[in-house]
Amino acid sequence: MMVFRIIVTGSFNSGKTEFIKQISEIEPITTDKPVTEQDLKEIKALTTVALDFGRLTIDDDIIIHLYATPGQERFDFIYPLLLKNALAVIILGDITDEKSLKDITKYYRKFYNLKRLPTVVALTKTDLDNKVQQEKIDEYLSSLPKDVPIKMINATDKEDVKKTVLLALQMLLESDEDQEEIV
Amino acid sequence: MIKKKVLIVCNEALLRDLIIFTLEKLQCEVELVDNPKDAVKRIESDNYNIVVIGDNKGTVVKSKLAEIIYNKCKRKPQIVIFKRINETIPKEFYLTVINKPTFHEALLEVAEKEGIQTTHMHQLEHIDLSNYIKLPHFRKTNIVKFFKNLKGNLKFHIRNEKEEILGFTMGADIFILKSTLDNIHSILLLENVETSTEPLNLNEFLSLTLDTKTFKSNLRDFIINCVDNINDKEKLLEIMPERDSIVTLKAPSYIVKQIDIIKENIDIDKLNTPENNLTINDIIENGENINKLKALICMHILNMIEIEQPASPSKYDVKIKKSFLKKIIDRIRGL
Repeated sequence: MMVFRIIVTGSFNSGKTEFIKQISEIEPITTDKPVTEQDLKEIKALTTVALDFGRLTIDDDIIIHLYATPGQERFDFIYPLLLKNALAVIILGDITDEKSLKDITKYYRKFYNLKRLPTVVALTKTDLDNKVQQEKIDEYLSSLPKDVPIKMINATDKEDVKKTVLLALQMLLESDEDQEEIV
Repeated sequence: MIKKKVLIVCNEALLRDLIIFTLEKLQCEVELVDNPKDAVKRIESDNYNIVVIGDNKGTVVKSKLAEIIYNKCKRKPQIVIFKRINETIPKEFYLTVINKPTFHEALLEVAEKEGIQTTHMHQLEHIDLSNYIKLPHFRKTNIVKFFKNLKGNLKFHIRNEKEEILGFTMGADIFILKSTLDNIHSILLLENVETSTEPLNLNEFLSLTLDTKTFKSNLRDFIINCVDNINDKEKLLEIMPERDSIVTLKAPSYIVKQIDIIKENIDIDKLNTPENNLTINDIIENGENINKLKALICMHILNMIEIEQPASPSKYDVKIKKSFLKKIIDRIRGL
């Protein structure tokens, strides 16, 4: 049995748990706890403490584990452990939250330094009105490499989530397109 | 009294005459053919009490011919096979296997020593190979790929500027009817090769004649011998695909373990664990171990392993077979 992983990361309240919920065949196993920081409490009551876990069975031999990793920096030690057999990283950023957008580049670098994986940046909550100005978004994301795609999604929309994951996997597939399949 | 009918399939003159002599003494009505095709024709149109199969012009092995005859005939006959010393004939309820008498061969040898012409007694014929492939369509081919993709029941013609090889496969066997190579096992060293193939049907196979120059081998043994014949490490490495490719076992391990060169050089159980993600380089110890290299090439040509490039050897640090990745993509698309 081969187990591969897809990692979803991003700052606090960027929609990671919702994201994996869309494609997981099981109700994600979460480690949500009440938010303790006073400022953050006003935003949401629960946050992911360790990680959320979802699963997707491909066939008898292949399983995908979906991990939503905590946004808080104090859990950075988890990343190297998660990256074994990882196929892609999805970095979520809350389009209504400047700090969340600024953190995207930080997350990208953190993962890139650990392992080169196809990475897609997905800006969530695009259905809300209080979006950060486009100029600011462009500025915060300007230091990302050109080949990292940026998508606007709704993390509660299954099709959006599928397209985001497929985009990352397609990047992996196409990186090897020149080579003939050996059968 | 109704005479019992006997069909003899044999082209060895002296032995054939001896059998006819014996059976006619027993008041049998004897008919004679010298090749499997005619034998099958007779069987389909008439009933026989006994069929005797000796060496004949056909390339089909005697036990296979017996099976064809038994299955095709309406009235099931007793089938007798004259078996050569090293010939293996599987036990079947309808078969009687008799060791082929050799006294007449010894007699011929003695006669030949005394200068007596005996060739007409053997009656072996040269095979007419003109128009061997009826509609030749030659394509440039890598000789290794050719053998890797070679299926059963095919006639083939291999050639380059210097050499020419004609043969066919029947089931798991390979027959070489003509070869300009000094050593047929050097065939994998041929370069700039073009090949043409054509299906070989059963009737044609039955009528193909065999002469003393015909090379016959089990295809698997043939490939192993051909690979073993290459001792130039660089040549061997050229045969292998990209060396960072991931290798997994495709054939059942008990079959692979039957082959000495593989069993002795490759850790089959380790290879049979996909999680190990073994690359060609891991297995052949970076090309240092020529025997491991040969064993792996045998497995490659015999389609016992699957070799796949990692999806992204340079851009991403991900090791996954392309086919796995495609499965994952298809599954997510279908959600």
